[in-house]
Amino acid sequence: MRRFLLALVLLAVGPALLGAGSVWLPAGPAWLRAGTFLLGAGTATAATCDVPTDLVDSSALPRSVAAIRQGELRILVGGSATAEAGGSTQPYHARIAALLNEHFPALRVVVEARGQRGATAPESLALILRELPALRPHLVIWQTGTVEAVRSLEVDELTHTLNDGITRIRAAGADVALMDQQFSRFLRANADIDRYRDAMRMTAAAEGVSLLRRYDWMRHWVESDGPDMERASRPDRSATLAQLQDCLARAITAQLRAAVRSR
Amino acid sequence: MQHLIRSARDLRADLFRGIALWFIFINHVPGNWLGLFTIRNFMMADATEVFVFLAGYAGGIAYGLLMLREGWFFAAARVMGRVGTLYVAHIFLFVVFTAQVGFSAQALDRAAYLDELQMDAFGNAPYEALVQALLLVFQPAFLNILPLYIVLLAMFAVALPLLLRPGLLLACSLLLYAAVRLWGINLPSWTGGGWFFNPLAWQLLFACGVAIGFAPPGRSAFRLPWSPWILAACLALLIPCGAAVLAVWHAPEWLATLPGPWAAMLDGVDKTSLHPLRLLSVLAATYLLAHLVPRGAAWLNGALARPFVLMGQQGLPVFCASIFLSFLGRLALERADGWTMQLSVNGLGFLCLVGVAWVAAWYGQKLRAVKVVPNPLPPRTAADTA
Repeated sequence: MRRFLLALVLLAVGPALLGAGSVWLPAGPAWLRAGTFLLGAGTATAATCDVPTDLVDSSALPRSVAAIRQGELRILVGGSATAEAGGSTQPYHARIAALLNEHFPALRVVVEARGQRGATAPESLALILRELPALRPHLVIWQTGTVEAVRSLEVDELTHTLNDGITRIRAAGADVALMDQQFSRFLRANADIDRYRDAMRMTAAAEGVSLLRRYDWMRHWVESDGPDMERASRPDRSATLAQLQDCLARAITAQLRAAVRSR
Repeated sequence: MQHLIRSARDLRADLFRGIALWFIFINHVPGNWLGLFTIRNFMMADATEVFVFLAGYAGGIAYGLLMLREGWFFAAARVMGRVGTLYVAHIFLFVVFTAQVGFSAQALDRAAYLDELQMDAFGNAPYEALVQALLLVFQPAFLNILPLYIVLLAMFAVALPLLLRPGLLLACSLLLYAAVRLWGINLPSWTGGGWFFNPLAWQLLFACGVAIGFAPPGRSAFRLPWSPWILAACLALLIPCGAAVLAVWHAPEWLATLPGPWAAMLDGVDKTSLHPLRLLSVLAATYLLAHLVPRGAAWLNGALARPFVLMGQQGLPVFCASIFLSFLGRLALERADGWTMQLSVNGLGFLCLVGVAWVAAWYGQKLRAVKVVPNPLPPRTAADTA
């Protein structure tokens, strides 16, 4: 009985705790971020979006590594609208070439991107397959899984599409890197995002393709005062988005460099 | 709390059911750190499988005995009463979910988000969404276990007479499962494809629970005896499956080195139609636990087990509460997901679940006591009813 009374007290105090938490917890990082922007985004960017090595998968990019060694790397990015435009003037794919050249100065990098608003996995696969013959990429970055989660589409269907797509892209002579969902508190609260992440991770592991862990990267940045779209104030949003795109490009480049180092 | 626990039952089943209900709450709150420790991280099955299996177990005992005493029609009517309660609970939770999405979009100043992602099925076609939800054809995220449970119980009401012939029950169930998997049969879903949890396949797990729980008169319930061979078979299934699940998270490159069909087979383990590996994982774990944890183990009455046993004994209200609380938990973690909030969500969530179980058990006990007292009112006269 005493234990139950204690429980009741905690129940009564709990909501107060919850309320307090919601007031001061998100506020802290927001001020900090605003401060970083005032001090100069240029220097802050590199410092705030490091990617921990355990979130970088260094395996399974044989053709891309060979292409980097031979001096020309062609990359095709396919996915939903954010793959092509990124919602800003400088989407992540447009940064990859410059960042790669920082480490491989002589490398010629060609990056093409195809995206379509609200594209499901089969739709983005169609976009990719259409470009394959003309571009003959060494690496296809397939950015997908968000629309499936949001619309509660069948998980097994996603797995089938990924399996099929990976086989066909490989047959065309390219490596595949799957890029998983964006991290968003809103999506996490309102869509069953974990099931779709698990499915993509499982397929990447079973097929032995590279996984670009965008969800984990973005969550890491959010937790370490990096770009956080959902907490950025209205005037800061476009700057935050640009920073996020830059960070994504850096993470992708880091994964490519890790693949080069490991072979 | 001890006096509220009905200790004549098999407390092991109640304990594991209670833990499964707690895990369902945790797994319905993505971003919850405790989610890294639930069974789905090291088993090819999760709390849903355990919940369905033990629901069959408890249902088999309760409604089987009721049917023997009062006949099939009475027991079936009681089961359908449960179905009605669950249906109303589901529709209530559907309304809560719709409100949650709207609230959360507003709180984050992301109304445009809803439109962009076409998440707002309700806003786009409210009348159709409502009809489809009432028909259980539209199941938003996180609202897929209740529809499964509703259909399973409705099927159970019809199949009750088969309880007296457990062999026939399992044979019919297995046949349906095989047909469903072979031809890819599923109930329709509004978003295309089928239900997230296909009841026509999942009924097999429920039926296994029923057959293990209920003993027809003159016979004992279905039991596998202790044997080192079965033990070895169970371990030979659980250990590689567990290793594969762990590898996906911690050493994905290891999976890619598996020869030919193995990796592809692991990738094909579906949850929707209860892949055989998932089914066998639950059954193997049950075999191990049933033999390793003795029925009358003292710790089942201990302070640590007690809250879970109590929750397991009040399955229905606790299950509905866990789904409802997970909405609040998700909204809370959307606000902030640092350790203070993690602690509050999990602490409060657990206390509320135990609280619901406590109240339900207390009320049930009072209700039974009231029924035992003979009616003090004088018998009605014919004039009263005219």
